[in-house]
Amino acid sequence: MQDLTNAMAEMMEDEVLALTDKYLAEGKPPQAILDAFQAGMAEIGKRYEAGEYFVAELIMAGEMMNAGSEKIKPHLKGGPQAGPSKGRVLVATVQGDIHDIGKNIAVTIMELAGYEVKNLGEDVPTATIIEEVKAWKPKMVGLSGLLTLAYDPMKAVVDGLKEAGLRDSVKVLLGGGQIDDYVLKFTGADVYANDAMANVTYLNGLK
Amino acid sequence: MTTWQEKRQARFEAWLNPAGLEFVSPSAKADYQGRVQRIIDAIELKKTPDRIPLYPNHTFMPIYLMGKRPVDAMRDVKVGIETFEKFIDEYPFDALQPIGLINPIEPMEMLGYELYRWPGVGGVPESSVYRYVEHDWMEGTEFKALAQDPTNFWLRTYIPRFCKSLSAFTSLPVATNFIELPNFAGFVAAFGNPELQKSLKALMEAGTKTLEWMMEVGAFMGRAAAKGHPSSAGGFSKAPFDILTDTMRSMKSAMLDLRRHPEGLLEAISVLTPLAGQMAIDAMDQAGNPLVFIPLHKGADGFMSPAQFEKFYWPSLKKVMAMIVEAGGVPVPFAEGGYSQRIDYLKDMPKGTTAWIIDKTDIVELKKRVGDHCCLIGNVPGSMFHSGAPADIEQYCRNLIDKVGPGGGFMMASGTVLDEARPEMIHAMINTTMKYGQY
Repeated sequence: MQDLTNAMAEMMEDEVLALTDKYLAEGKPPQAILDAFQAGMAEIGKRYEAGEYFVAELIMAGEMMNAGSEKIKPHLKGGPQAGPSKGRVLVATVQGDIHDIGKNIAVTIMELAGYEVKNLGEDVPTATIIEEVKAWKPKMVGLSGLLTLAYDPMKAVVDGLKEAGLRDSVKVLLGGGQIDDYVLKFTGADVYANDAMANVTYLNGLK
Repeated sequence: MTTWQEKRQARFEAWLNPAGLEFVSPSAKADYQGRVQRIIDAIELKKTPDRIPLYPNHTFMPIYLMGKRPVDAMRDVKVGIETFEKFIDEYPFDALQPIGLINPIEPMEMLGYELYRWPGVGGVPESSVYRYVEHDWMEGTEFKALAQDPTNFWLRTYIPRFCKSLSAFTSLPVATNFIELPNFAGFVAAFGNPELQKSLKALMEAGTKTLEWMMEVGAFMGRAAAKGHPSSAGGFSKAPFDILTDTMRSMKSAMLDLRRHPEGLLEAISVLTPLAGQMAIDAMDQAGNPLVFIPLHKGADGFMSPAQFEKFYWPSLKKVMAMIVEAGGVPVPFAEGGYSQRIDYLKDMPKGTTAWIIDKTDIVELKKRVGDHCCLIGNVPGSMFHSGAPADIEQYCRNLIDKVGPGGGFMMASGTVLDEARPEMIHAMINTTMKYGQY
């Protein structure tokens, strides 16, 4: 099913869906079709990292993946056999900020890379994030925010994790267009990412 | 025939000597004209100004600096004006950003305006600023209808979708049908529709409120000018691609449109291009100020490929800027985010006609590559104003003065549009520029 993988990588949306229908009709194993999608996604990720693809392609990739999964799911017995999760990631847009586009792209990319992601949504109170870290035990918490108003709540989460004795158990990553070294230092987080693939690169490097 | 150079000279003269403006004192006049000339010199690249100009780049910053909340100013124009009055006395920028950016909440509520949310509404905290509501206000299949008759599309399709009180605008008659006697009754009778009348009444009432607000704001801008503070811009426009994809299509849909609806998108862009240029020209005519602020969004690094930028974004934006330059104006595009992959495009307008506000792009590199061609404004990081120390600001500004200042063609500003900032941080930028930015 290399043609499906290639069509995915080349952003040929109509062809991807037509090939999915064709292979399902031919009775090909649904898990194998899903694997062809995953291979396409991996290629898209590579091209993004190489600077050949951009946000527009990541969004189209997410669209194709979702549409394909919807077609394949009914044929899978016992659900998709995803590989073992590479780890848990908790994400939230911090209190006072309701921007979600960048965060949601990051969530899609992390999920496609094999991480189990819990998205708490936007304008999430600091206490809620701390409670979730305590209960769900993610390896990383991603805090998103576009406004400078988001910096104080980001710092509050980091401080709250310290107070709760959880700081050493979880990495804190910041995301957002205006996040830089100054904000990193101010908040005491571990790292920041200005694009969705950088999250994954960082996660993959964690033990 | 008048050349664009002559038109621009006339616009600069009118900006330096505003018709009907009585300065409060000779020194206020000298301050005003000194500031305008400083900005003109930085833009024209013909000679260095007397000092690096301090250019404002903010929305609600003056309000936060004075300890008020944006919502207070959006609810009561007097609060906004009081804070701006104090701001111009305490923070001597070389221009005043028009207070009109703040906008009044009451008429928005009267219109059921849903394109944005404001503090206290729909999850936006009371202490915060307004936010755009990410939504598909039109479908990707509607680009062609828009291109066929944009005014008609705006009035009867787009506006009714985001102004609940104007929902009956869907029944507006088509203006270009009002020809000849046989169409008289059909056209005029449409306005007898009680629902449409209700919508028109809502618009009239919101219009009255907004006009009152505008009169107060206009009077303040006049008082500020009389005290020596010129306005930082006279017009506003946008890249045609951004018009369609900022507040008409959602971000996600806009990115998909590049592949799903490329032809319709290009048609709509082509139709909107002269309108975007004319919008800027009309505004600068009215304001008597030739600078046109053009905030750029989806063309930044990362969203689309260089090939897509070349096809969907740049040609139409370039035409809008060329229309402004041809009319004697000065485009001031705000390259928000990074523009590292687009640097050579900054040379597409004639030398000394454009001033680019730079956010995250390496401005020192820009100075080397395009500094002899266009003015650069920026780029003290927004994050630093919040999370740094005054010494960080001073160090950053001194580096800009040393590396970007030489030869002129540079204005000091924050790299992004500031809302909250600590007073000592803004003073640090101003004081450093005043002290070390003299030529």
